[in-house]
Amino acid sequence: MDSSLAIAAVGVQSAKGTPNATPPYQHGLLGGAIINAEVEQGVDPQTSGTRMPTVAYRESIVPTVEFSTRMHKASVGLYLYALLGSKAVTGSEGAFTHVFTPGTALPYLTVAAKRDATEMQKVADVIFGEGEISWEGAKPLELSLKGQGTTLTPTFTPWVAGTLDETYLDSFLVPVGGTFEVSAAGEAAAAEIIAGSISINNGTEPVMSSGARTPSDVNVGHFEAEVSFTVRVANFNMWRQILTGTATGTTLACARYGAFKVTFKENCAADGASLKIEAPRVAFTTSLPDVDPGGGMVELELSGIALSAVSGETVADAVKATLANAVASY
Amino acid sequence: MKIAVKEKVSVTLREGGSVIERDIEAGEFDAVSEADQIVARHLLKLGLATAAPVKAQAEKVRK
Repeated sequence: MDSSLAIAAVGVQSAKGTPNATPPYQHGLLGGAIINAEVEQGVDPQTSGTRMPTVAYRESIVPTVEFSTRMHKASVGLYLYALLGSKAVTGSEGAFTHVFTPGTALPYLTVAAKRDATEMQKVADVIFGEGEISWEGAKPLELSLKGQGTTLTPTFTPWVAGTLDETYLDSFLVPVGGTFEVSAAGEAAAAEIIAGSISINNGTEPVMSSGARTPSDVNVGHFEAEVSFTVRVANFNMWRQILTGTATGTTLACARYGAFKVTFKENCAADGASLKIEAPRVAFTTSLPDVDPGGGMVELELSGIALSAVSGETVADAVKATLANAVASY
Repeated sequence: MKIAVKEKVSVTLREGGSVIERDIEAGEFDAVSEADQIVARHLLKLGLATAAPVKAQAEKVRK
């Protein structure tokens, strides 16, 4: 077999227990096994007439999904929806704007994998628990995803190609042409970002009921969004803002809230797709960088937790993603 | 609760274990049910709608 021959196909399900027979979003991968089975088993601790163990017990088999991919302009919307859970779309005739925000639950998806020519597996009722968007310099964005499902099909045939096949396309999202704003305290402002990552963790766990070795469901837990930015700086104002609340502050204070807003563009398409990710309330921390006898520019590593701000009945979204592309609906 | 929707919008929300799906045309949206009010608040939050004009609501009160 050849490990470079690998394709994933993913589609949202109408409901749990109703697999998507033909997952439409198909693309190549940067890494990961795509589909796996996490088996928990061990020696059954019984005494016997021999010193050697004789019986193994298999407690659970959890179907898992794990891969990393470019952020292709169409399928990225599906993954943002899968990770966040709520969506609103406006627009028409090939120009749509999708806004994804955290919901209290997540959609179920079907994930299919094709390895080499004949190895095909799929998992149904997948909930994506973890996702990380990362970039460095002008390199294309990378999206890493982890999920768990309830129903594993270890082999199937035939492979039905996704109707939205992005496998051979270079229309993925890149930082080039994008805009980058971050502040350690207060409203987001332009910053020279060298690299960054935005991680979402939905606190999922498989529900292991007594009647089966496979999960009956995947439970969605607490939402967490962590961000990290490497910023080229001309001074330590951000460090002081985090510690004191202002760039010139001298009194150490309680937690201060900053913000970020980053925009990415479709590769080689001036009027193509775009993705904006923003968080209005981020609690950042940072450390001053080490000195270096060899010299070089000074960078600050900002680490933050994106938080929600609640005012009356209005719950501001900790993270909001706005995707403009030609997909009418996810 | 009435809101003025700026343009046609399709919304899918997951709240409390249930899925709320609405296709709403541009114009006034009268959110009567609890689910509709959740949708209305969501659209206001995203800036895809504004609160219905105060004048219109005041006229309704007078009637």
